[in-house]
Amino acid sequence: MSQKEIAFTGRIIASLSHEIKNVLATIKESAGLMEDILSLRPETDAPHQARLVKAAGNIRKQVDRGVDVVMGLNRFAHSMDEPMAQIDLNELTAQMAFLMQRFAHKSAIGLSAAPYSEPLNIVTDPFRLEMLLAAALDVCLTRADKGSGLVIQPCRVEGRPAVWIGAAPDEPPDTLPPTVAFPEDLFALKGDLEHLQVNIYDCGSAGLHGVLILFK
Amino acid sequence: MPDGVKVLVVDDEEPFVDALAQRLELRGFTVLTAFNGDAALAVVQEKPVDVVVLDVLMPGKDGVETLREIKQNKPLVEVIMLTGHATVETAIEGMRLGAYDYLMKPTDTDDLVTKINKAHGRKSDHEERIRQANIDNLLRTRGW
Repeated sequence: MSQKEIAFTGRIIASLSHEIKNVLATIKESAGLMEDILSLRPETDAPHQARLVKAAGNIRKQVDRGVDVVMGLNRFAHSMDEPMAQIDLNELTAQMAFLMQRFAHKSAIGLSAAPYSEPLNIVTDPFRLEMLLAAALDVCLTRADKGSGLVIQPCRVEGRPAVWIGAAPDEPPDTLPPTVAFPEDLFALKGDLEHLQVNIYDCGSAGLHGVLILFK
Repeated sequence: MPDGVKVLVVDDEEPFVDALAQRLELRGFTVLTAFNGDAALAVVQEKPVDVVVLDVLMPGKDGVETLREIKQNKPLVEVIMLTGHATVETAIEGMRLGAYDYLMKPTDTDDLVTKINKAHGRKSDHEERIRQANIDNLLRTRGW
């Protein structure tokens, strides 16, 4: 997709997700109003009162879940706003864990994000970096054992910002192990590396279960 | 206690305003409603209002523009901005212009009630200080 097409797609998704959130806000307040009214006289045995209270509570919980989803969609849409932007890797990795949660769930693998101790700001192409991280996560999900856990976390390696996707309990390396290689199953992404100014390393040969995305 | 606190809810989503207004009324607030910026300004001009709950993103006169005019015409009226994720920066800009606080939409009703009460408290304190300053000034000018 050209940048123009990406920006258009993002603009439409952002607009629609905003509208969905307005719908959810109205449903939430309406369900809340039902709960308020039903709780005015909780001692009465009005027909179906308990079932109505339970249904209104379920609506509210599902709206909260829907709001989380639509917020994630909205953030994803805004990652398409600009071809280059400053981002915090802590926020981006948390967003990636959220976006890829369903794929991890389907693979029966627990996926979580672990923030770095301080903001790690970089200037990059946010949308293409998300695509790269999603592909790297896909590879790691394929490799991981069912029932295991996968962590995506920003870190610094040799002083440079990086993202580590690894199987617990392995931690990101402090320095680049000498034997690391490019992961062959990510070969199709090689063209994006120059644009994003990153290198990808498969740390399996260094005895670590993980992939390291290192910013130049 | 919210009894007697006059709240104006402003949003172009009429069913949202309707439900939220009823929930606030059930909690003891006196609630007025408006569905756009111009209507909100008319209400603030004509009726006593303590706190305005104002959506940032509205067609026509947006939340920030409406806030600016409210603060120009009725500086003591407190304003709480309602915002979406993409418009948080606009809400923060609103706080620079004098808004009391902001809340993400959909709101948590308990959070909203807490913020309305705090905003009303600030308005009451401010009014009391003005009243006291007027009394002090009066005493000084009359030589008492």
